[in-house]
Amino acid sequence: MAGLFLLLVTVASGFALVRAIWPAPWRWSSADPIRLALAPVAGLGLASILFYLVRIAAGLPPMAAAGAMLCAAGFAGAIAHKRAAAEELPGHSGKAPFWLWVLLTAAAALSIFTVTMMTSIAPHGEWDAWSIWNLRARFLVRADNLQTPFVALLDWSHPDYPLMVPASIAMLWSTSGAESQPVVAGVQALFLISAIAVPFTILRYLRGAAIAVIAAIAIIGGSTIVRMTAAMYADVPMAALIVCAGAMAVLALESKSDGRGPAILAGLLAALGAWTKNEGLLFFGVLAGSIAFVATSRAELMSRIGKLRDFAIGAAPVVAVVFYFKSSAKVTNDLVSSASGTFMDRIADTHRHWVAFWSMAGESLTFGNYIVPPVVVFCVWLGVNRLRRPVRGAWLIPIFAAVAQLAGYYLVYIGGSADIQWQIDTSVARIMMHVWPLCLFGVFLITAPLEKE
Amino acid sequence: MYPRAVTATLLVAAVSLFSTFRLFMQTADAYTQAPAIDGVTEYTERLKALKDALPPTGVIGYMTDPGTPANNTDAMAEHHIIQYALAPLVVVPNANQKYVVGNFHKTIATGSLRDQGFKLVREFGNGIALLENEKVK
Repeated sequence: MAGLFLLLVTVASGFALVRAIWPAPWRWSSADPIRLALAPVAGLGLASILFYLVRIAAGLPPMAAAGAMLCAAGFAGAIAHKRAAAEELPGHSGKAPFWLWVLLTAAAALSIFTVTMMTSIAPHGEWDAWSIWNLRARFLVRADNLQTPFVALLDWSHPDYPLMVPASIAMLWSTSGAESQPVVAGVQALFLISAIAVPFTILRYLRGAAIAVIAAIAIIGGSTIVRMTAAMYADVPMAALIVCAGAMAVLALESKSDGRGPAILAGLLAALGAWTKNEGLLFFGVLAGSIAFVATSRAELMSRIGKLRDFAIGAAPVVAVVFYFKSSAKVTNDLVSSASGTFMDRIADTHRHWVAFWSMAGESLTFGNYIVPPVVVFCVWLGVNRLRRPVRGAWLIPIFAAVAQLAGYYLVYIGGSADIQWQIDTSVARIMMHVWPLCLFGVFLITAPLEKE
Repeated sequence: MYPRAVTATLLVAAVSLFSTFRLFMQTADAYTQAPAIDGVTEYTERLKALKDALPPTGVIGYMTDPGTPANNTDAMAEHHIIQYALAPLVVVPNANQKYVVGNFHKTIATGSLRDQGFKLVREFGNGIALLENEKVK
């Protein structure tokens, strides 16, 4: 019970942090649903970074970590109060029909029941949960030094994987004094909520409620994301941080009155992605490159310089922690250490291209338990509703970033993996899921208005 | 909403909701057939006495049935669950440590273990045993 209460405190801390970075009027304002949707990922990110830093500085830290978290939350709250803005522009006023809200409620209810049943069947999650993520959380809480979880003897548990998920769980376990599995399920559920709520609230703010509601139904419909929440891997957190960072980057470029906050938050969230999985390091570069170069005019390109600076400011503290962690890890990534032959040999191997291409293409047709390939469904959607015109570069960022991320995964399969078929079989559905919410956010962002604006 | 937008919205909603509902039905089916206690919890319970008998930190070895291939998925899963249960003790997947956790599914004669240089320290039932490797000082 204490752990679940601490989850609420973590979300409240995240809300204070988001408001400190992106000031808002003291009362509830038009963009506050977006801030609230970001609160779980921001709060859990803050908790994991603080736990890791306190663990380095003070050894075993139950009360020190809790104290640091409370101080950080109080500090963020004070800054949010001091920086409270006078007014905020209203968002899009478009409404959604009642029946669409009913369908969203049904999808959400079914997903809640599904995750609850799955968690009840396997409270410790699936294989990677107890062999990597929750195992690392146990080490962080139980070990008397910070070297033990990362020794080479545990190389099969991937000691080079970053600590967003294990350290946030460790913070909650350590502070509550109990290693409760419902807390782990709660952490995963919070990431799922952000993965759906952030694109929903930003689309509602920019495009109106109807598009936002159908986008949320579609994201839930790619049911791999619901299934993986109960598996307790770090892939749902990865998907959540990818869509949060990408959508905040779009908001930073689209919204005329929100100052520097959204771009700083986009940088912070992208860096938290790099603190979640190694795939997040790739996305960090992909998103920065997309912000810099995906534009439809020279003027648009020039306006990106300031946004990139803010993106870098938001990312810098977390990137520093990620680099410290990576430089102190004594173990090489298994993809690198297990690869045979030279990188160029593997890149030139046509069999590897054949296997990787058809596996990824096949997964894109069968992803998410859909009866019709999702690619077909959303092509029909865009064909019927058409594109919003004139197309602006910022609207293309999510789809460009998602495609570039998948291209990066393809290169990793080709260039890095010793047993490419095994690697693909065990990961292709998860990596597709990483970009699923961002891809759909992009599709609904470029859809022409569903009603007269 | 424009009529064409309503049509497209209904198509996307129907396909998405069907996918969500299908996963719900698959899960409900699995839920009704699932055992009362999941495998990881059951294994962890079995290891409680062993955990109490071991030091809280350090490195111990691990061995399972002779002849089990190194890439046997079930054997790897059991080693990972035992590591998960015994953390922060590091459980390495070989027997080259002073103390070794034995996890056996077949009956092993104490004599054959002794021939290999292992002394039985304690048996915990369900095929779990703590062994001392006499070749390691």
